[in-house]
Amino acid sequence: MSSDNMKFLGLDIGSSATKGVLIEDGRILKRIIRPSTPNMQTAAAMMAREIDAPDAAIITTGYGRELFDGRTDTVSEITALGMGINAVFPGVRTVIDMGGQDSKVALLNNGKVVDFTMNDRCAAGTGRFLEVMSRVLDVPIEHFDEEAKSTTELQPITSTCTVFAESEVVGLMSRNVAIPKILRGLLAGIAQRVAALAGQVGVVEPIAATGGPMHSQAVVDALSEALGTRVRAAPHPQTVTALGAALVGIKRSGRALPRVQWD
Amino acid sequence: MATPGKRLKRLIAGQMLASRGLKTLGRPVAWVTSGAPVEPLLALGVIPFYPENHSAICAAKGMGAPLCQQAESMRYSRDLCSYFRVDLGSQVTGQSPFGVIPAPDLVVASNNICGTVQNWFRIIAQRHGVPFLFVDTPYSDNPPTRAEVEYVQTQLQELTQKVAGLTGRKFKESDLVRVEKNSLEALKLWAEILHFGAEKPAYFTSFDAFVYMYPIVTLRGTRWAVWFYKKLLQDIKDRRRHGQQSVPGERARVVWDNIAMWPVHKGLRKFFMQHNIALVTDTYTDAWRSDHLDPAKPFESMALSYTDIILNHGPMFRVNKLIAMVRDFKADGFILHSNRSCKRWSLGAYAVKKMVTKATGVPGLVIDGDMADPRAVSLDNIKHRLEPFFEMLTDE
Repeated sequence: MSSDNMKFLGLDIGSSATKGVLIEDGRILKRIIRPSTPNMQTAAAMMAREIDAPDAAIITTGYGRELFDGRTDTVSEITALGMGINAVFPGVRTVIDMGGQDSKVALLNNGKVVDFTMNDRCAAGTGRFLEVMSRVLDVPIEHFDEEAKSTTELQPITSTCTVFAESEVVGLMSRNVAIPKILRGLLAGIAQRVAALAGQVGVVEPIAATGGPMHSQAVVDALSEALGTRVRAAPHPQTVTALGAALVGIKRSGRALPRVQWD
Repeated sequence: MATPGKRLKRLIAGQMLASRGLKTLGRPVAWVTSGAPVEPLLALGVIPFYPENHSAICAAKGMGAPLCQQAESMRYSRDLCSYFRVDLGSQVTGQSPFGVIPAPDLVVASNNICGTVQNWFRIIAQRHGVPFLFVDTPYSDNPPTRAEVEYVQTQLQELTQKVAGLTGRKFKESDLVRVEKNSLEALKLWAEILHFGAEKPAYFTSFDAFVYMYPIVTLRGTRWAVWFYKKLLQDIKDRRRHGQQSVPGERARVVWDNIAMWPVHKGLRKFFMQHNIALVTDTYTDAWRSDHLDPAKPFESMALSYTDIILNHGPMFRVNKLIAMVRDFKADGFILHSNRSCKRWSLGAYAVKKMVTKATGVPGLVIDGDMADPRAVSLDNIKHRLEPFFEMLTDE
């Protein structure tokens, strides 16, 4: 179908952040990330107001996808993630998404999700883990890269549980172990857990990564190391799922999927 | 006309009333495992009671957590089977949806379904101070050998003599043959009923089977089970004649592996219905589809029937069973319930998933849960995985 100026808004209402991508005929009109506070419902409503596209079809995804009354339709994060990453990196076979509350791995074939897995009942492989450790180490996540780069040494963190890892880190700090060493150990640990999760579906190259933590090159490097192969972080990694939700809306409306200008 | 659900409720009430009444009249009661050879007991007039099914009903009624906690307070680990913990909790507190349960005069267990029951039923026997009888069925990846069948057959004959001796009742082979004919008739009716899930669209689903399996387990060998399944079969045929498929607007078909998730059974069923997904068959209720029984060879066929069952075989048996089910029931996908309580059934879930997908080309999903302990099942987490899975199956 040819261009009909129909706008589609993908809203990814996550546990930590709400992400919105407004698309029209393959062009990204808006791409916004806001904290999911004070609650997911309000955050979604505020974002829809901010994006201000009253004619757009709104497709929600993420933990809070059922909470926004103004939605046209909903889709699961896995399907949206698969759709989004295939638009960003056509032909990608594995995508790893590290969210605030869970980590997901999806296997794609010809742009379709054919298998997936998620972590369960544990925050130790998620963005939340990094947030907790950032606070304990007193290193903002934005500074992870420069801290990690300052050493080649690594202090292994043996605890897999976020709470126990926190006490382990506190113990190491009290023994004056250098913060960059601890940070590298934490990143290696989280990457190994996500790599083990990916092993459940069987990793096929090329591999892409999305989610807030992928803003940090140190996290991406740790993932590549754990998987023993190159992982490419998507540009604007936190909004790929929101893009996918918008694309699902386009597909469900019977329109042809546009080529997306994402960079 | 009574619905099958109402008939089942009345049947269970009648069964419990009769059990209590007969017990007061002096008839012996045996608490048995779900895979215990019940036919010789019935032939001797012994009344069976099934703690596993009782635990399932307790769990479906929302009693799982407090009863498990009772057992845990007695220092039984939370890692143990939740059917066991619910049963022990119920015995200690006296809480049961059935009211009063007739106490056992003996206990009969077999390890054909798991090793846990061997200890669990020994604990029951000790608590009640009654004899513990046990049938050992060799675990194998392959169909039972001649020697294995003979080994079990000898034990079944000994068991029959022991029970006759303990209860003072006289054994007649003609009674055993009569009971086996009843078992066989009910098993065949059950198989015919389950096959309605293979029709596209389905006219019977595993969510129905999970509920209506109760008589095939606990009333096997009686005319009651035969009566119930004849009626149920007629109901299903009537529904099909009127075009009332199980899941209106059926969009995809799924096979289930492992025991039901009783604490979230209703919520799960609703979720499948909302998404127009039919759960067409499962390895759980299929375990009572066995057709090995042959009243012409009562002990030998019983030995084979009670040895050659899914839980007495390794994961490869499960793989092959699931492959056959996906094909026969025209399924678009399959779900493996990684059941915290049932290690034997959950063993190798991810390997099983890969092998079944490789052979059938349809996707699988592993979901964590438990059959009776609600603290180990999260319906929200499960829905969070099922939704993308359903989207995959419906070609999103």
